[in-house]
Amino acid sequence: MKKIIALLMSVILIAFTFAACGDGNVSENNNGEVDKKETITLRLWGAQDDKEMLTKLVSDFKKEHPEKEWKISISFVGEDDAATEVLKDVSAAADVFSFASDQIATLKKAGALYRVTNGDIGTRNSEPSVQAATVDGEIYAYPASSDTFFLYYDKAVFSDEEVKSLEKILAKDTGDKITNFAMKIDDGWYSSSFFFTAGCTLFGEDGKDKTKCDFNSEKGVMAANYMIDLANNKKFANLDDAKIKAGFKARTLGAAVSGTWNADDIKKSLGEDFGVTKLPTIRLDGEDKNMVSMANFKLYGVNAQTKHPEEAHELADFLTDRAAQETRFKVRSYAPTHTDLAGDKETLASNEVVAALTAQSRHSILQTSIDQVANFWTPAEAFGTGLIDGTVTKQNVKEKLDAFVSAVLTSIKEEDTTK
Amino acid sequence: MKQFFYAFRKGDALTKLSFFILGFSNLFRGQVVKGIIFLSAQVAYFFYMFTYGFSAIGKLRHLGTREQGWVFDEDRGIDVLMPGDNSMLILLYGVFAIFITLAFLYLYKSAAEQSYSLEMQIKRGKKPLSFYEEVTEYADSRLHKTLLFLPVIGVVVLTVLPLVFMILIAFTNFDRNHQPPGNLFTWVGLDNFKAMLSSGSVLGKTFFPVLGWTLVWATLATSLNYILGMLLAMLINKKGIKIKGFYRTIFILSIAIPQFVSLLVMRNILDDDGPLNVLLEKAGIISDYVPFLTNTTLARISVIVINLWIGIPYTMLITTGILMNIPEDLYESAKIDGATPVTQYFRITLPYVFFVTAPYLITQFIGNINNFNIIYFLTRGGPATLDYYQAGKTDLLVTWLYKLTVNSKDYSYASTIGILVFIISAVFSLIAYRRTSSYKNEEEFG
Repeated sequence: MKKIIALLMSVILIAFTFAACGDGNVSENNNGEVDKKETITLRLWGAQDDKEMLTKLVSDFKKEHPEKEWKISISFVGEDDAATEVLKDVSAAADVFSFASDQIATLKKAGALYRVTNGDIGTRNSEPSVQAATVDGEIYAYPASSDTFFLYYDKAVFSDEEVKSLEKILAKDTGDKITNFAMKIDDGWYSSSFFFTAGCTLFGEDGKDKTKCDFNSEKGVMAANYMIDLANNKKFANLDDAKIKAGFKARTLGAAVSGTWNADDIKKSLGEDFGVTKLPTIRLDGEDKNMVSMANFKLYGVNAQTKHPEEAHELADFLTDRAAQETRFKVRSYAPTHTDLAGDKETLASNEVVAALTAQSRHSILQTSIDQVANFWTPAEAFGTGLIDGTVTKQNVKEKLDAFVSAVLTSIKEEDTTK
Repeated sequence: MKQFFYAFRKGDALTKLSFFILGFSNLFRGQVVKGIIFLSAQVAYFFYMFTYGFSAIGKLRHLGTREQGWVFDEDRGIDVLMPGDNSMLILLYGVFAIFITLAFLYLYKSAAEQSYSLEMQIKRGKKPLSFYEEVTEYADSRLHKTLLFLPVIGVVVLTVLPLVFMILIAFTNFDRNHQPPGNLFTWVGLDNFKAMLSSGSVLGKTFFPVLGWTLVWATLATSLNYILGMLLAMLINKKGIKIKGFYRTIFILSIAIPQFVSLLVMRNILDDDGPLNVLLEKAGIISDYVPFLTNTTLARISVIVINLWIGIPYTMLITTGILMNIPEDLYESAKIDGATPVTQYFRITLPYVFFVTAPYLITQFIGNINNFNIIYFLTRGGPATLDYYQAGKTDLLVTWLYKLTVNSKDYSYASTIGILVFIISAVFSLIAYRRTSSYKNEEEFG
């Protein structure tokens, strides 16, 4: 007979039974001694690059709150992966985590974020950053820094005056070796810039209506035509971050669109000739308009399932307050969202990258966070690919934009209910 | 089962009682330790079921009804979480409880049957085995069971149980709009399959073209690898060729490099600004770059050709062994009969090789349907297209499935695709395998 299997099965059964009983009465509070300090265990997720800064901020936090015994552990999960990692199992995720603002709607919808009801988040931070932390009129996260893309350029190639307009950048004869302008136009994060500049909106004025996208309007066609000309221009190249960095290093690139994350590398390559400024203007419909960028914010959120909500909020608040943002700016060149700091032009000007970012953020639009945006990136990439390989032409551009928009607005669910 | 009911009918009172109180018969017939183990297993099972199990199985019906909510606590100034049901955990625990029940039923059956055989043993005047004797038997005459125990448990716990859980997700609406713990998901029956298979729906418009490309890819990748690998093996195996070992080693070196490394290198080489394009441009052969991986047709050709690089050495290795085993006299007699090399190939070599490698061919085909690595590392499924939902032009079903889970968290649709791919693979391999001569004429080999 299969006795041994039976025997071992029973052992496993017993083990599980004990495990099952054990589950019931874990959270019994220990209100015993008064003089003993309460031990609070918190876990924090942040980006690997911020390791030193976070470690320092956390030790400052412990010093500032000596009334409790703190056990705060830091693990490294990048802001861009935060939603994915948190939603794998909310109860196992960190108590406080940093994430990019485009994930906030998804996180809120999945019930992973703790509403912020205390403190002065709403008033101490700049208006757009608060908006980025807001879902359905309620604040759900602590803004820490703002982020967008802008223009890097080689001062040996272009003067300060020339980089103010994309037409001037492209018109200049820089020789055979040097590409005048580079930007990744098969990535919706960058390419949407042209549509926004023309006055189009993605998901309505507030970026929250998943049934609206007017990239195929007359303005959209105008923007797309501009992109077609750009893509066909020999002085333009569609380059990703790695190639932009390589281009500046080899000095074969005049100007390129990218963000703070590449600042150090490009600075190293260009040295004295390192130039950075807001995005240039483009001429649409006879009018020079500054290119509009998608802005993103780094936010700190509190896990909805945290065991110590007060303390977790306290930590998140500390990590994003004025002092912390100043540290962030000084150590990591992150653009602050705190109104005191963001308004302090002198300090900001001391860091040319942050100055460029701040200048550009006046021409930026908040990156939408509704989860319909998952349908935006692939069609945007496809449209960009079409621009580059020449399958999108001025003749069929309206058609392609219609397909683009309908792909962005696609919903599987509606199809289901029609049956 | 027959034995079970027979035991119940024929057994005496003590045996019959053991059907209700496990191990009763063992306890009173000299197998005390074993009796206690059976009994405690039963107690444990019932304890588990009444405290936990029944409610876990019961909740499976709706997968949770109470949504997570928040109550504002005036004194603390913060929201307080009112935990709701977590559909995913309910599903997981429910499946777990069912598995525990099945395990217990198995234990119950064997315990009941043993109680009867124990009764018979005593009637025949044999002394029942002591616990120690029985344990030693498992190191001796029943060693196979001891050895198989861990693997079997491992497979059940780590493969079968999660598999059942994942399969069940295909019948729920666990998509991006129903993410636990903030939301509940529930059963939707076959809706996902309908959405996937109706040709007019968003998913259907992607599913069928992607399926088509998947099959084209699998067929071409498998057959080209096979034919070219065999030709290469025959070439090296030819009589006049010297330093055979050297050639074989050279080709096998490409196996020695981890696949993903080769693929990522290839991705770089074939890039629009990659070395190959630069080289061709410098040589004056092309004026503009060739979009090896960014044009639909070219990208599809590229992945198939690069797959040859990865796959041919394996086929070469396998066929070399077989070729060397074909008796030389077959060829000699064929030559005497005046057969040309072509006839020899089609009459002797091919049937011989095919006979042995047909199952390998089928495995390769199925493997290629699910060939995640090559597509993911080489093209990421690109070039992107406006025609598909969340998929690119070189995406296979399996990489599309990956994108659906990672990019848009549509787990239920991903699971549906997984099941459909399984059905396609299973049906194909069964039919194909039963038609091969290695299955039909097993005896004829050699």
